[in-house]
Amino acid sequence: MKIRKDISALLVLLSLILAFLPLTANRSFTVKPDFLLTGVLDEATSFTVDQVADFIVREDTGFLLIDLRSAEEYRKQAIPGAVNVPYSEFIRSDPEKWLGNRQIRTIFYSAGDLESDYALVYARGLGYENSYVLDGGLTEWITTVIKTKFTGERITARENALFETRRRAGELFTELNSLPDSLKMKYLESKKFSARKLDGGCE
Amino acid sequence: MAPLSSLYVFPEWLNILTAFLIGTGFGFALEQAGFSSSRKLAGMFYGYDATVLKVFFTAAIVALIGSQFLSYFGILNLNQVYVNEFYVTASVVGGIIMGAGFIMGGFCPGTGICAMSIGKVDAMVFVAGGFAGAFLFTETWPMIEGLATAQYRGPVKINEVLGISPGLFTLLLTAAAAAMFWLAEMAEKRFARPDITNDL
Amino acid sequence: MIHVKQITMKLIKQYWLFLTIVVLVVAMVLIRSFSRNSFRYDASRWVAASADGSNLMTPEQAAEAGDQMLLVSLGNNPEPAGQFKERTVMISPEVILDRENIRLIRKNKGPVVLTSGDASVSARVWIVLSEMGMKNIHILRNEGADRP
Repeated sequence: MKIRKDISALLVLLSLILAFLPLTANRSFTVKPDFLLTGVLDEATSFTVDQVADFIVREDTGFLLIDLRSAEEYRKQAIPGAVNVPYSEFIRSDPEKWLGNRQIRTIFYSAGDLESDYALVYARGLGYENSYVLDGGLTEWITTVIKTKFTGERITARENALFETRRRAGELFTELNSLPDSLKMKYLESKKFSARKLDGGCE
Repeated sequence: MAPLSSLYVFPEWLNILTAFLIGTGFGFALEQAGFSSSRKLAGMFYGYDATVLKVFFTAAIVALIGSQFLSYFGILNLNQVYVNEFYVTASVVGGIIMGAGFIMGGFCPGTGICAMSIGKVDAMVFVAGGFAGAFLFTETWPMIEGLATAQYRGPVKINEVLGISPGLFTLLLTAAAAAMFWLAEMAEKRFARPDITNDL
Repeated sequence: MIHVKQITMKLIKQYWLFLTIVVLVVAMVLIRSFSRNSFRYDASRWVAASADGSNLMTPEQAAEAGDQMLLVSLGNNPEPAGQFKERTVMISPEVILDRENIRLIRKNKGPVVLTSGDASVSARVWIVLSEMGMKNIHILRNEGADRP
């Protein structure tokens, strides 16, 4: 019956190895570096503000906008339908609760481009292939969609459609962001994610 | 479920098949360890047979070490592993009830089903009693709800409470387990009963 | 001498399974921890510098680092400013993970600063390089750029 001493010694030795490892609950990238790099350097990772304006106006449900700015900035102004996940929180916790539905395209945006680029690579590195950025961020959105003006004498059908979409999206944006605080809070709260609780059982 | 599910998505039938195979393995392991014998199980409390401690503790340690390594190699996402919610009062009261039931009946729920499957009548009655108890619990829920949900602490992990790394906790627990096995074997010699042997 | 060798051989024959398991586990742990061509464990830790902006560097700060600083120009750039000309190397982002380039970056004693005409490229490359375990990588931040 010496085998039980051997097995105990083996288990103690393995746990000794574990004691020296920096174990955390955080996840690690699952893809290979060159694969990830090729993927994120591709142009197909971004959506223009016009494309996103189109999604919003058409009420397309196949995508999710994530606003990476702080909570105060989000409350002041946000793209209609966006969910607020401040960047520092995004990288600190498990993104599964926001990105778990892999059928939906997730589009990150921030004030400029920097944080959305970071988040894109981070999400794709963890295996969430369906992640994209909004080119130019909120700054570009405001310049192009909100302040859009048409100059010139004649307008082609396509330009007209574009202009209409921008105008409609701009209306939705202004409507949402000029709501009195209480109503706005209600709308924004309803967009928050609640972390799905795990099911489990016991013996 | 299962490791590798963070790398691939398994079809549902495979999940269920895996669950079935694991259950089969569990039942097999319990039976070959002799846990269908109520004398062996009750021996844990009288001191003459420490098999229960060794088997279950070893299983827990292997699962702990295995899941930590799998998590380190990126195969298992520990955030998706269920952690029991801790209700202090309910744990204490439930533990007392279960301990009393264990030593009186000579079975615990899992081993009761195990013994029932080889045809033991006392195990069948025990499992029926278990179902009755669960039914009673749900029927009287409005009355005991306060007690059952008191002192909620959330899904706590011991290493978080102690403030040490999971790896260090694993080492301490394994060392504690080895020490307890050694003590248990000394107890077995001390409390040995000549009319009850280690065989069934 | 022969006595010791005999005992060792006996021990190995007896415990060969035990030793195999331990050696295998140790090898896998070492590979996972220190492998040079894949991402490190704990993704959150390696990008922490991006959350507070401490991975950004202005040209003045880059100049302060003196000769140890290495400026990596990721393409799409006009000629780098005179002050950094000797310490600049042009690497196209598609080949930045080639062995020689990685070795160049890891070997550098001072900070490695990424710059590119398209700011997105440097940001994305920063994340990839940081997750591979390289700690002293920064992004050159232009004067008057929008708050990121």
